[in-house]
Amino acid sequence: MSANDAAPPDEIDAALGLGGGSPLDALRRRREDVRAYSQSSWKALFEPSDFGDLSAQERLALAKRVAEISASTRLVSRYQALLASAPDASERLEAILAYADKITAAPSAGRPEDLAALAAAGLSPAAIVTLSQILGFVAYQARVVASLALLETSA
Amino acid sequence: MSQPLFTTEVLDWAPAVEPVDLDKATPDQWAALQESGPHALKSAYYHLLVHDAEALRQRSRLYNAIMYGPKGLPRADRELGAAVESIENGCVYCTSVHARFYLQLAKRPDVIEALFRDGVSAPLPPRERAVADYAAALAATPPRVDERHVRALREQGLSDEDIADLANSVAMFAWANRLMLTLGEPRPAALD
Repeated sequence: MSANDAAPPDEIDAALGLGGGSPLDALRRRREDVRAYSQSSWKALFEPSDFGDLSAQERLALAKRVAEISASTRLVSRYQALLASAPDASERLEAILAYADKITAAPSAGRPEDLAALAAAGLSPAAIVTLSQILGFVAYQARVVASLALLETSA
Repeated sequence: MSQPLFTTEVLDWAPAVEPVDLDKATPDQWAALQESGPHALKSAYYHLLVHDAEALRQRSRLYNAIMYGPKGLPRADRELGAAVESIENGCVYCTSVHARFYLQLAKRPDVIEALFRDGVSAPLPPRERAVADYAAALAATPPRVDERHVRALREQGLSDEDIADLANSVAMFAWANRLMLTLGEPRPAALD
């Protein structure tokens, strides 16, 4: 992909409060394809053409929980703002968040019964895959944001 | 801490969630598999992830941009970052692949042997020490990477662009480990 200086601010910029022309912005734009596919991954998970078996609220509540456990206050604020209002409590959402709590902190702690609990709460295999992609993506995003913020303060 | 049984042997991976039945895959799912590379068509991992074709498609593009993008941090260092993240998370499958790639690129079996034996605290040469410490600190939840880790990388000659490349690789494997560890498990490779 060719560099495109006109590419608009993305979710990483939003989390970091990055303005165009800053040193970090220039550093990110050096790898325009990484920047673009980071954002298209975000869109695939949070603004898909079809939400399928995992609602927008469930996706955002899950992302916010992963951000909380990752201690990324910037991402917590971002997902909170997108969530707008508290999601309706349900056993399904509780199961999703309990899974996020366990896997985010200790990815190797997952056991077959944890997947069984998600299925029992009504999640299809497709929903479990999307949930897992969100859990992984926010773990990725939290580290990108933390590493860029650290580069800025370590100047 | 005792180490899981890490290896650089080729492993298989068996899904714990029902993959897409390829006889019933949509054209979009086929396209996403084909775009992910020839290995994806035969891989149970990809057959599972293609439940969400667009998420898989964008993730594969991001993965390739981070791990294979031109210039910047040498690929061996990106693979070492991926391997250390995977060792820290106990992802035997991801470790096997990326320790193997690192060996092919860097020809330093001593580094991998030390990491497998003693984990990230193993004695390492200075550059590998700085890369491994940064990767392990960024791998932690929450990440505990700090200015000392950045300084150590700069002392080894890494630019901010190089450090960002390393961070992207480690972050990508925070994601990959969470898929591989939770959605299935490694198996000894079947003999063809």
